[in-house]
Formats: sequence, C-alpha cells, structure tokens
Amino acid sequence: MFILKWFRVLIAIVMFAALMFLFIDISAIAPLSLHYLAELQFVQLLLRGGLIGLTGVFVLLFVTIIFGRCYCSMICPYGILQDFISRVAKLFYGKKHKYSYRPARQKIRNLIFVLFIAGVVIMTFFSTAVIVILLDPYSNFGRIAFSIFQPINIFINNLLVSVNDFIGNNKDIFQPRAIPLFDVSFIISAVMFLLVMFLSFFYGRRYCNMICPVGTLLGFVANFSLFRVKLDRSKCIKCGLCEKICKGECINSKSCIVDSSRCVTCFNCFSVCRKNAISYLSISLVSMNKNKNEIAKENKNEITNKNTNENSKENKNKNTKEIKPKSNADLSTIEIQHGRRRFLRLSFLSLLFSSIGGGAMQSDDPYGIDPYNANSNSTDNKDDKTDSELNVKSEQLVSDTAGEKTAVIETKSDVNSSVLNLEDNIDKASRVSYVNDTIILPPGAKSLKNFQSKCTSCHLCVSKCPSRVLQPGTLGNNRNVGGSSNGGIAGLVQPSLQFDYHYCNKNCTVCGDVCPSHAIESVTAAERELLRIGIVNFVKENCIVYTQETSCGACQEHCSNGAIKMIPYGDPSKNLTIPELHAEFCIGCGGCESICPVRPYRAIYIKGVTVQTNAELSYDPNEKQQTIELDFI
Amino acid sequence: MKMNRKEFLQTLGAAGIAGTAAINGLDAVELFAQDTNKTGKPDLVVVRNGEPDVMFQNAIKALGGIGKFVKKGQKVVVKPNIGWDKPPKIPANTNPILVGEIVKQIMEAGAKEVVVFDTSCDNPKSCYQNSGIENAVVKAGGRMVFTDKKDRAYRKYYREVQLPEGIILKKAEIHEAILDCDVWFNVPVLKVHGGAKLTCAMKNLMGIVWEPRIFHSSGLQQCIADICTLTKKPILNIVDGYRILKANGPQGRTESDGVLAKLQILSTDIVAADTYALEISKSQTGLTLDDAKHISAGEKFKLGTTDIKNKVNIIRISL
Repeated sequence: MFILKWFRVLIAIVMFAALMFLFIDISAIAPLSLHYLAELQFVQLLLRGGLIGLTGVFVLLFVTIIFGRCYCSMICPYGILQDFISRVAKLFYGKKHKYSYRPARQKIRNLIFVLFIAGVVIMTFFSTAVIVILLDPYSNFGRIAFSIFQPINIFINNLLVSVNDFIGNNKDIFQPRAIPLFDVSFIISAVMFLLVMFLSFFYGRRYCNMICPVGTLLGFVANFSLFRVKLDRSKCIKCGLCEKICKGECINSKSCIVDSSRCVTCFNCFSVCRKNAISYLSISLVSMNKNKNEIAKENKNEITNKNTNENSKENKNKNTKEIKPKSNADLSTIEIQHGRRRFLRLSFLSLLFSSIGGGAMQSDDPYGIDPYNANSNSTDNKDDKTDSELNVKSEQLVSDTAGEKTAVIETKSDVNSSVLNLEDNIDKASRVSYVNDTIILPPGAKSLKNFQSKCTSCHLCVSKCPSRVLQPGTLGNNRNVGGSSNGGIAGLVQPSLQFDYHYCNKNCTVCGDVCPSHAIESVTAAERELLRIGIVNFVKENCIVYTQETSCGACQEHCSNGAIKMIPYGDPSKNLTIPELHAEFCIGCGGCESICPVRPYRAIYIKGVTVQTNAELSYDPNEKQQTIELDFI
Repeated sequence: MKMNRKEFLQTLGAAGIAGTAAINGLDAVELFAQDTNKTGKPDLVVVRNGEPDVMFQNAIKALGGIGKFVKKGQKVVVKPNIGWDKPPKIPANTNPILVGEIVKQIMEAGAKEVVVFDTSCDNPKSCYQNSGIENAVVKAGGRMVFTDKKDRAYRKYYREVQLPEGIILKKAEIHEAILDCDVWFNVPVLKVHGGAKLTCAMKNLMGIVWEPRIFHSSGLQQCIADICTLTKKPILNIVDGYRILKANGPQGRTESDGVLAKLQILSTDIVAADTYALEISKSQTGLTLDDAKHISAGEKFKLGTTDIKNKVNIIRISL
C-alpha cells in the first residue's frame, strides 16, 4: 500500500514542479508544452467548453467516481502547494503537528459551490469573471506563482547577476530583470496565499474541503466512488494515528469512518496504520453506509423512516426506467438489499461505462461489475436516512442558486456597461488631454466577450509574454496614456496589453499558445501578422513635430505594418515630416504608443477593438528584392 | 571538396592576413598602410559587388589591415545595428556575415575579447537571434552582451557621460561596454528613416544610449550630432550597404523594401561615411544632405567633412 502514497507524491511533485517552473521561469527555458498540464485543470476545461473541454470535464468526473478525489492530490497545483506547506509545518512542529477529525462544513461548501456555479454562468453569459477568478484553484495558484514566486526568482537571479558582475565573468549566463511593482494582482495573490498558508499550515486541506468549489464538486462525486479509503472495524484498534495524520480532517478514528467527500486520497493514513486496517482497493458497502449514517447522526439531522421510505419508492420507479436492467426480480432484490444509494451509484457507473464503451457494456449485466455483492447486508433504513438528508440539501442547493444568480447579475450589468462602452470619448478630447478607457486584448482573444467569458486570470500568458507587454489588469478602468491599466472590477485582474513601454511583437504567438482555458486562441504566425488587436489614433496637437517643429518619427520607426507614413509638414526649408495614418494597415501592436516621447498624453495611441479582425496587407508579398549596381562617386 | 568563389576568397583573405601578420609583424602592416595615404586626408574605402565578408576583407586590406586598428590584448566592441526583429533579407539590421567577419578578424588580430551589443527596439532576444548576428558572432569567437532598454534592471550597465560640446544633449548615459573598451567599431546598416531621414553611422550611436526617448522629444537631428561628440569615438565606421533599405525605414516590412546593392563603405570619418552613403544611394532613397540635417550638424562640430570630393581620400574597389 505504500506504493500508492509514493505514486501520489511522485505525480504531485512532477505536476507541481513543472507548472511552477513554467510560471517562474524568466529566461524562456521552460518548454511551453508544459502548459498542457495547465489544460488538465477542471475549471479551465469547463470554461474551454466544446468537445475537448467537456470531454475533459467528463473524464475528470469519471476518474473521481472511480478513484475518489485523486485530482485534488495529484493534478491540482493549488492543492499540492498546500501539501507542501503542510509538510513544512510538519518539519517545523515535528510530532506535535497533528490534525483531528472535524465534521464537514457542508453549508459553507454548498454556499461557495453555488456561488461558483452562479459565477460560471455569469461569466459565460455576461462576461463578468470576478467570482470564478477568485475561486478557481488553478488560477489562484497561477497568480501566486506569478506574483509572489516569480519575483523571488527574479530577486535570486539578480543576486546571481550581481555576483557574476562582481567576479567579472561573462554576463551572458544571467540576465538581470526589474522586479515588478506591487499591483492589484499581487495584493489578491498575497491575500489568497496568506489564507492558504494559514489554513494548510494548521488544518491541512481545509481550504480544499471548505472553500474550493472544485473540491466540493469532486467531493460530492467522490461520495459515490468505487475505490475509497476505509477503515476495517475488525482490525482497527482505534489508536487514532490515521486521524492525526489526515490532512483532510476526514477520518473519525473513534467510529472508524472516513468521509469520502473530503478524502483527497493522499494515502498518508496507510503509512501510519500499524494494524493494516486501512484499505483502498476494496470497499465494503456496509461500512460505507454505516459511516454515512454516523456522519448524519453527528450533524443531528434526524429524518423519519416514513419519509425516507416514500422517497426511495419514488426513486425506485424512476431509476428502473432509466437503467432497464435484466429483470424486475433482480432489481427489486438489489434495491431491498442495498438501498437506493448503491443503486444510484451503480446506475451512474453503468451509464458512464456504456457511454464510453459505445454501448458495449449494455449487453452485460449492469450489476456484473459490482464487486461488493458478497459483503452486502440489509441496511435499508440507514441508507435511506442518508439519502433523504441529501435530498434536503440538494433542495437548499437549488434555492440558493436561484437567489445568488439574480443578485450577482444585477450588480454585474452596471460594471459591464462601463467596460464595453469603449469607442467614444476620444474624438471629443480636449487639445492635449484625452481619455482612453479601451481594453487591448492579446492577439487570439477574438473578442472582448470571448476573452472575458473565458479568462480566469491565471497569468500564465503574462508570465510567458516575451515582450512583457501583457500585464495583469488593475481595478482602474481608465487607461490614460502613460497611465496605469484597465480591466475594471468585472474582469478583476484579467490581463491586457500595456503600451507604456512595451509593445506586442507581431511575430509572437506565445500567449495564445499557452492559454489553458483558450480565452486566447492559438493563432498561426501567418494569421498573427495581420490580426488587429487595436487601432491607431493620432493627436496632432500633441505631436513633437507640431509643438516644437523638430523631427521625430519615432512612431513611424516602430510601425511594423506601414500604418504610419511621414508626410512633409510646415516650412519646406525645415524638411519636417509629420505622421499620417493609414489605419487600414494598423494591427494595433502599440509600437507607436510605446515610443511616443510626449507625456503625459501621448500624441499617438492605440484604442482597443471589441472584435479582433484582420488588417490589410500594406505591401505586395510577391514582390522580389531588386538587385542594383550603384555608381561610385 | 568543391569550393565556390566566396569560400575561395575567404580562405585566400584569411591566409593572406595570417601570412602578412606572421611574416612582417603588425608594424609592417602599419607602415604599409601609411604608405597608401600620403595626402593627410582621411581615408574612405568603398567596395562593391562582393559578399559582405569578402568586401570587408578587401576594404580593410586597403586601409592597411585590421591590425592598424586593433592591438594585441585589447578589449574591442563592435556595435552593429540590431534594432529590429527581422531576418537578414530585410535590411533592418547589419548583415550578420559582415559582423561575423569583423569579429573573426579582430580576434585573429589578437584582441582579448570582442563584445557585440545593441540596444534593440524590438524584443532584444528575438532581435539577436533572428537577425542572425548572435549566431555569427558566437561562431566567430565574440561575445554578445544583452541589454534591454525597456527593463530598468539594465540601467546599471549605463554610465552618465558629459557631452560638453553638445547643444541640446549635455549628457548621456552610455553603455559601459563602450566606455570600458579599448577601441570600438561602428557597424551601421544603410537605411532610410522616418524621423532622421537617413540612419547610418551617426544615427547608429543612439544604440549605445540608455533611454533615447529624449532624442525624439527634443530635436532628433541635433541630438544625433550631439551624441557623436562623445569623446570615445569609434575607431572605424563600417557601413553595411550589402542590402539597402530604401523604403519604410528603419524597420522595413518586406524584402522588397530593400535592394541588393552589394556595397560597403569604410571610413574613420563618421561624417564622410554618412555623406558618402547618402550620396551613393541617392537614386534609391531620394535623400539629400538637407534632409538628413544631423550630418551637417556633425560637420559643424568638426566631427568630419561632408566635402567628400575634395577633403577625403576615396579608395574605390570594384570586385
């Protein structure tokens, strides 16, 4: 059984190390293909949607219903981060560091889960991602890695650069890099990091088992899982060692129960049990049902037998229609023997199998896969109690969802209108000052709506942007030229392009290549070249050539697509030229804005577009380079 | 092994230099060089119709060999134009073959090290790689120094220098590679430019300055001349005219913005080099001295002469 734990640890370390490396790497040595690990994340698959995304979600749920919440201990980097912190706590406190069983905080879990579902709905249909951004575990990890661990990496790197300079070695090995300034993204990450540090330092996986919506969902599914950790009453001596090491706080050693909805299958308990009383590969229905029953008792949710019997009868009828088992006799026996819970689980499993196996499983007896018949005894009443308890909860769940939805939608509509109302203001600008509150999306985002309804601000694109033009948003909605940023509360820290010093290289497709939720779609180099992410605007009154009558041309110098031409201006003897825009060629790379020397309101700037289209090609690509011979003077 | 003309000439040139150095020693080469120019005018060598490396081999030989400029054990900087993330066929950057050849010859002349850098406009890493210059320099035994004007962490490599003669620019922050080296070579590429009209030897000095934004905001043409008054002047200006950017400078959008002219201009006189480059490419760029005012401004600082017909000793080589 030890092998299970080490398998879990190995996968977790590889997963975590790879993703952390991808995020904190500043020298572009991490292979971008590591981003596929980020694409495995639950929320990213969910938001990605389509065939691949939904299949991915389905597979993760399927894995969970077979093996329990192994996603939380092996795939989710946020969970693994907490394991690391718990490990540090253990090193810190030694044997004094122990956990103890706590009843599930099911109300909080459900509430946050409902909030999250509402968040996903709002995000998908109304492009306000703020709830999902704050609750998605992978994105929280990403932001922490980017805003906290990457600066630490930069700091160490800069120290090495200083040492390197000091000893007079070649400078090629390390390249210095400015440590980013604290921004909203940093504050959010720091708060989440402190919260997670506190919780995981003292209470193990409490964040995952109380706050994380993915944990709640997978926990719910894990209630039905085939394989699960369980204690063998006949072997257990109630020494409590497993409870003390259980970071899920889900083992009640006194009553020998394991709450599968909170067990993240870390297998730590296996390593401490001296009596070999913990098993994973087999499951006894009896003990499971007893467990559930006892939990129910602890929560003091007493439900009468009468009610539950009625419930189970109703459900019995429904389920028989769905599954169509071999004979009614079989069904009724099983029903009576094992209760509705087990029936539900089996029917769900058989549905999964049949849909995956293309119906092959349907020809078999759906109960043939049940390995637990031997152990099953008649425990009807107890089963039914748990079930009706669940029913009550699910009703709460539904009502909560409805209330939450409307509330958030109302607040959302205000914010959204201010973000989407982009195109005005500029032409009415005063002589030298103006407002530019447009959002410039990375190439491949397609449209503002698409981007805002998919991006969870994991900042992987920000971390990988070679030009560092892609920056986390700030809460400010007004990106005045030379000013800070955009985003607004709706998108919270969703990244956008900042042209204050940098601009978007038209040869580069990195952000689209790495985006795990496909908020930025991958584009080919050829597509990228003409993809318009913004459009140029010129304020002649601010231009150096106009105000000072000297040459400049910095904007034209940086224009890669020929959207700016320099035309003669003013007194011919001065040989001045001033920019003339050919906006049809502009792709909005921001070269002009980034280099325009005028402050604080630049003479040339980019307005974001709400839908990314193609610019025109300003040259004939088939034209060949001429060969000439110049005469000597 | 079949040898094409280029390879043959390369081998010949290398063998020639090695042979001369071995037999006569560096002093003899210098004597020979002095013999070629008794007029007291600065030399200007113009070569055409060859590959970049071959043209350079011939041109530097006409000037008396690289040993005239580089002594043994010196730290040398080669400052090409690596401003843009463009392939060599779009002449936005100096030709990589030329830069590689220069570095190779300097190393062969016994230099301690050759450092190559530019303050790029596009993403510096991509510029170094895609221009082909990083590859060529490393192959030739030189070292690329990386800098990024958009990252304030690099500012520590720039030191403030006073420019007492400057009219607008009284001081500038110059990269320490230039300040700490023994000699440096200015290796621009001949391009048209939206603001400065012509970007060549003088304009190339903007690449050694931190935050050249002030150039644009306070009078580009005069600032270019001002920065050229830097005490530590390039020992030789090598203008790459193998491909000339005739339109949409200084970046160029496509290969057809450039022309294949197979030209190279070498001069110790930065103003003369620019003047000659401008005059010879007039038919392509349509520029006059009045357009590129920084050249005449440079002449006013006595940095060189625009009177190339009378005051410069022009050596013309047609391969």
